[in-house]
Amino acid sequence: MGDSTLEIERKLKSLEETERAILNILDDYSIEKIQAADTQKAVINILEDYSIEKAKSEKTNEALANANNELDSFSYSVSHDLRAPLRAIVGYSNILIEDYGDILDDEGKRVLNVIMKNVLKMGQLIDDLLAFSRIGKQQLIKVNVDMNALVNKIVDDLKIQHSSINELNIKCLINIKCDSSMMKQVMTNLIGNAIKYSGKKENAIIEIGSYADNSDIVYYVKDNGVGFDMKYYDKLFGVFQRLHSANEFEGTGVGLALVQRIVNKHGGNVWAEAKVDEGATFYFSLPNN
Amino acid sequence: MIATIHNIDILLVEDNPDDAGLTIRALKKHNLANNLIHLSDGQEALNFIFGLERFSERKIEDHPKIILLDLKMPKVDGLQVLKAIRADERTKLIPVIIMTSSKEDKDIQACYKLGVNSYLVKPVGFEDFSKIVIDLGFYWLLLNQSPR
Repeated sequence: MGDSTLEIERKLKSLEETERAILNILDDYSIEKIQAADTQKAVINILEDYSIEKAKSEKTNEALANANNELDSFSYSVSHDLRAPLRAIVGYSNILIEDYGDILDDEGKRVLNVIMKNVLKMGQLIDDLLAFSRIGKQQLIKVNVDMNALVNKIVDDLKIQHSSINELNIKCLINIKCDSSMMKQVMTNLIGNAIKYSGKKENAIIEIGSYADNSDIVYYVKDNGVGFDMKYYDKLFGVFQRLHSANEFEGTGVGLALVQRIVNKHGGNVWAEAKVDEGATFYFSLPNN
Repeated sequence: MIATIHNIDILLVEDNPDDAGLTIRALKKHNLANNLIHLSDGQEALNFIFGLERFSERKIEDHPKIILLDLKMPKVDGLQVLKAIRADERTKLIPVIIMTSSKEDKDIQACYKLGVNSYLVKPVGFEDFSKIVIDLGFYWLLLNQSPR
């Protein structure tokens, strides 16, 4: 009789343990269920955030497209409407000189020439600004470009305007796939700058070369001209930013900004090194693909 | 005041009186403006070419030797004038030279698509502008054979 009581007690204990275990499992299960519900809520929140962000970026894209269209009509207006009055100022100043030049004294003629010089400068500024803004919306047309041929053509054109280049050292340049008309603008600006800013040096030496750097090709234009103070480096590529006065060297301050814009558009970088009165070297990299 | 409206060499259609003044002066200097008429908008130009309204005395077959046409004009613009000239059998052979401030590709394309003979961009510099006018005057009035 005693045995069966023990048996029953043992069985009871075992049942109680089993009951406890089942209750634990049920507890764990409800915790898991709550966690699953929380996870589900979190995922839904993420999806909601994602569609909000997507809607935001679509709105931004639309705003950008509108801004671009406005910029296009603005540029168009600039090119047409600003040029007309400029042309009138130049033209009629010229008429003054031609028809009334003999009544004007030297000072009068000088004043008129100042007017015309400034108007022509404004015309150049407008052209530069337009070129700068056009690059933004232009598509890149990449072709294999013979860089030596490109540079030689530019130098020939520039030589007609500037006979003061003493030594032009053009190395054998690595060819690359890029937009040739944009690259022509880059090289024209850099080489033109090198010539311009070594114009006052007795023995102007300009070197143009290239080298490979990992997956990029780096091109450089080096001169031994007036250079610039590296202290002002961050202004170098800004639009309308100049590091020399208009009296020292003419220019509109858009050239380097244009170079940077084009090179960045190709996925490359521009940078420079210089020392005052010793010269400057401008580098730009292009991905080689 | 218009001295004559017949046997015109140059029909200058230009809404900007200052530009017109410069153009006429440059042509006059080289004796190319003797039979020139200047009109200030596209509607006037069409009336002149087709002998309408105040130009009803004019015969359509009395073509100007060349038409110097600005693009941006109020009321009827240059492109519409060009279109109308090219659309009519009686006038479609008249040489038309666009002279405009616009360097925009879309304008150049549109004009050539309509069969313009030449497209010139007015430069800012006066000497350049004068030179273009004189060059075109000599070329189109003296060198070029017109289909009269």
